[in-house]
Amino acid sequence: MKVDEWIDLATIKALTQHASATLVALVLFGLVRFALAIVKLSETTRAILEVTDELVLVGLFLWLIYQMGCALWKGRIKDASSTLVMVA
Amino acid sequence: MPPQLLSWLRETGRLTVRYILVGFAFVPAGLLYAELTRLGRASVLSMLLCLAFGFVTANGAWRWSALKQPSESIPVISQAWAAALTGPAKQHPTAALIMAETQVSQSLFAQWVTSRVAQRQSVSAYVRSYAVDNQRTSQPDFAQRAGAAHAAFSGIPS
Repeated sequence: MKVDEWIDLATIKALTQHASATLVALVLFGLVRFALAIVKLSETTRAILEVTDELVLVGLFLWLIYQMGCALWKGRIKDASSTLVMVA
Repeated sequence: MPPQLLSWLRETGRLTVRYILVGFAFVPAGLLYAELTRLGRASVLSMLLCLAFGFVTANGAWRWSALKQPSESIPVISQAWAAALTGPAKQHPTAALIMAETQVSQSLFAQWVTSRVAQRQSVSAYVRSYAVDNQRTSQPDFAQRAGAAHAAFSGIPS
């Protein structure tokens, strides 16, 4: 496959959009974690939130890989590469 | 601000909201697993079940957000179908689909005819201008090049 067959404007647009969305989501996630760290919570609540946080992260990571697999399976290379940006 | 940048920002915002929604969709599964952990029933099986539950809710959120935030490149037929379903004269879904397909076919055919007419006009203008130039310069290969121009647009009905 030639490079210019898939690195076109639409691909660059999709990649930058996914990269920006990932950055925004990471910043929001960091803010939420920071807020949880500075807010006084009971041990039980904190334990629940920590476990929830871990499962959400693992689940989201696996879900992105699943989405990437689906895109690859359907032959949508652009979608797969965009999702790979988020996974990375 | 350039419209391309505005469009990019708008679409990026929608995409961000969609992914954040998917993240939030995993929260019920996470809370469930945390509760199981607190009760001392955490295991690999329960984690897998909670992840599967999270996958279902995440996929649901992803599809729901796709419906709630349609892309700007939504197919024309979907718009026509939606108009036929919810317009002043609400149609039965099957009738609405047929009506939308007819409308889109007519619209696409009209666009096709317009573009073909424009192509024909441009070819005619090209050949005419070339003929004028040829008369002016008396190039001997006029007939050959005009024939090549016609051959390039051979699909156009004369």
